[in-house]
Amino acid sequence: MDARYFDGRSAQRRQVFVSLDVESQRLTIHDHLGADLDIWPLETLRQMRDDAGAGMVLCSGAVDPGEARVILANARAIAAIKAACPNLTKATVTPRTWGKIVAWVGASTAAVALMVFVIVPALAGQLAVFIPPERETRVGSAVLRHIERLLLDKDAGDWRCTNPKGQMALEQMAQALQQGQEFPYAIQVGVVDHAMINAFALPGGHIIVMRGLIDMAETSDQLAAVLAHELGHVAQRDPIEQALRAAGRAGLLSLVLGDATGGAALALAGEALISAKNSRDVEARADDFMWRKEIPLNKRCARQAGRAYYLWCSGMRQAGPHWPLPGRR
Amino acid sequence: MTDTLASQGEGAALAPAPLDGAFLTEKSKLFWLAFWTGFLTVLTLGIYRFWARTRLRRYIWSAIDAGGDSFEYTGTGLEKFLGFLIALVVLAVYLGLLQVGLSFIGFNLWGAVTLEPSGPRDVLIQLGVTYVTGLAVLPLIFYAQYRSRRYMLSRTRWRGLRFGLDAAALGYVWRALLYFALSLVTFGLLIPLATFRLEKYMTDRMWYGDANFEQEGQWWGLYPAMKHLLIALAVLVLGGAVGIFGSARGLGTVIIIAGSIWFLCGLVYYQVESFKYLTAHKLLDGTVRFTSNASSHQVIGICVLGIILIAISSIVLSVVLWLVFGIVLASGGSVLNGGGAGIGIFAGAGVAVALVAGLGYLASLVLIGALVTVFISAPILGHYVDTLRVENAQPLEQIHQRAGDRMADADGFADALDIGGAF
Repeated sequence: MDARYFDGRSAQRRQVFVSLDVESQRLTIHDHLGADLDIWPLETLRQMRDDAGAGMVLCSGAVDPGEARVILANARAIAAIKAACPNLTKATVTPRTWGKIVAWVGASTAAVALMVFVIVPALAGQLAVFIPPERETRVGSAVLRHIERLLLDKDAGDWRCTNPKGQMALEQMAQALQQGQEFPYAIQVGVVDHAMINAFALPGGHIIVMRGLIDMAETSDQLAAVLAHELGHVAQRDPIEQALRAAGRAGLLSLVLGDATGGAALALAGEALISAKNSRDVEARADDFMWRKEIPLNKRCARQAGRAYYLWCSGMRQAGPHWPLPGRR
Repeated sequence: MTDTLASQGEGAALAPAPLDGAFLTEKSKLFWLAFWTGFLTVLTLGIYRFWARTRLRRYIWSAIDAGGDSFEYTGTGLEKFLGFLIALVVLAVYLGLLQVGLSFIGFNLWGAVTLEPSGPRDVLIQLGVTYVTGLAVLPLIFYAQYRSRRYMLSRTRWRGLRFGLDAAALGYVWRALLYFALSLVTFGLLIPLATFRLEKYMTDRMWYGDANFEQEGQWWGLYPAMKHLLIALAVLVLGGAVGIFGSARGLGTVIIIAGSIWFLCGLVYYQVESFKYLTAHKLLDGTVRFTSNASSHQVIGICVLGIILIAISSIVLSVVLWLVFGIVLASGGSVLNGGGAGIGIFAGAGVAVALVAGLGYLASLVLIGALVTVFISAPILGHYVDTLRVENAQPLEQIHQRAGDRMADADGFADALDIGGAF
């Protein structure tokens, strides 16, 4: 049968004829003088897949396709080859290749995990100490303004609750909780007029309590517990360390997942997972700080809940106001 | 039994000079390949993308024909996957350390200049810190560009011989950074210099078998290709002037819109014309020359037609999806109204609705990706191939094979950094 042949050594195209010998399981390639150019065992014959042409491109080699190519155009010849060669589309993956895949997947996963869970947190912890507190306070103010812009739905008006009585009560509470502890910077507590039940610490000693949390609090102790927890973060300079950690792992997951469809959503979910894992220890340490303040609370339940401001959700009842509740706006 | 189906052919026919390029695909075959591999990529959370790209390239390469012989792509999905893992580790370490370090410096600088951090200089510092991260990735992007070109060429064969690119990515990186900076500070006026010098750097290191390519010509030879970009800029400036100084706001807007469209077309014109100039001044093995008759009108036509076709398909698709969505919602709602077993059924319907919406979203993304391949990327490539001509092909016969280029990282860096062309 007529074919084109490239020997893979020079760019010359040769018109050849190939003969299919089913008995000896060989495909012999002759040049136009009849001399043998190549002899391929049928079991090693492979067809190039995803080929756009109407013909068939053949090579020889179970694992490595080799250099030479035979190109058949004749439909009858193609049918004959297809009938005689069992392994035309077989892909062989050797045990050695599998070993290589497993080794590389394992090594790269370990390296990235080491980076995300050990090196970046350790580095962030080491570096956070070297940021001067006054610079950190400025970072905190900038973050605060950013949050302000995010939360403010009204065009005008003050987003903070400014009732002086309430502010004073809250500051008194914070003062009392700070006793016996040294902080790198002055603590600034503020209440934000937002229904969300949450409180958080920002870099530079800013603690923000959402109005929703105060509304939800049944006793002042509960609010004090939250405040103590956030003070624990501040004492350990957690917020700035968290910011450094977040920077270190930013974009890492989208790197892993590529721009595959839906990859962005997966990357976000993974990001949340990593930060949850990283923050568990941080939150536990902040809770330790809170426990040292000996606010009369049902500690067992609180510990089960994990984070202090989940206390309200578990429906705890603890009597006795030990702290004045700050007023509302 | 020896089964000789046909006798000897017409003999060793010498290839006629010149050779013409031809792009031979079936749109339906290409569509199903792109759609199916895209679907598998989504199904495997992106892992299959290495094999998807390999299969698509195999198909596209084999559709490119020069003088009756098609190209062949010999890259494998596995080597791309392993290359990606290598690149991942390097990038994770580099980017992780870099970003922690830069943020640390950033936090230390914050408010260092002014007492009130809302001042404009402080904003500048913040911006600087943000963009330094981007700039730190830029060398990696150029590195990845060169490596992926080298990988692609080393896996491309024609008439049994491999192409190749020398291992010289670092030289490319600093040159690319330099020309990038030059283009930036001259507001784009030196773009031809960047285009030409970088293309020359690559072409001079490019091989077909044991034959070397050369880039001739001069960088200022690309200025005529900038023609429409400059006109568009003038139109935009005029539009702005009319809008601001003249009192005709509406007229100014119209002129600015026209200028923007002109600018887009000017970009295509620059692409096509610079390709033609650079192709005409390429030399292989000191004797073989090339000509490109690509037309920017045709390329713009392909883009416009493709966008219209894709827009129509998207509209039809979203109508169908909303219908399905509506049916699911309605059926859920009717059950809720009829029976009293409220929340459980509602939750069931909610899951179904979310599932349909999610699947519909993913399916339409894959579908649009496949349509872009079939109606835009492939036809544009096809136009470039169809209009390419090898002027004197005779000396090609004397070229011999070159040694393979292993490249353990394949095009992993380009994949991880999301760069690379349509294929």
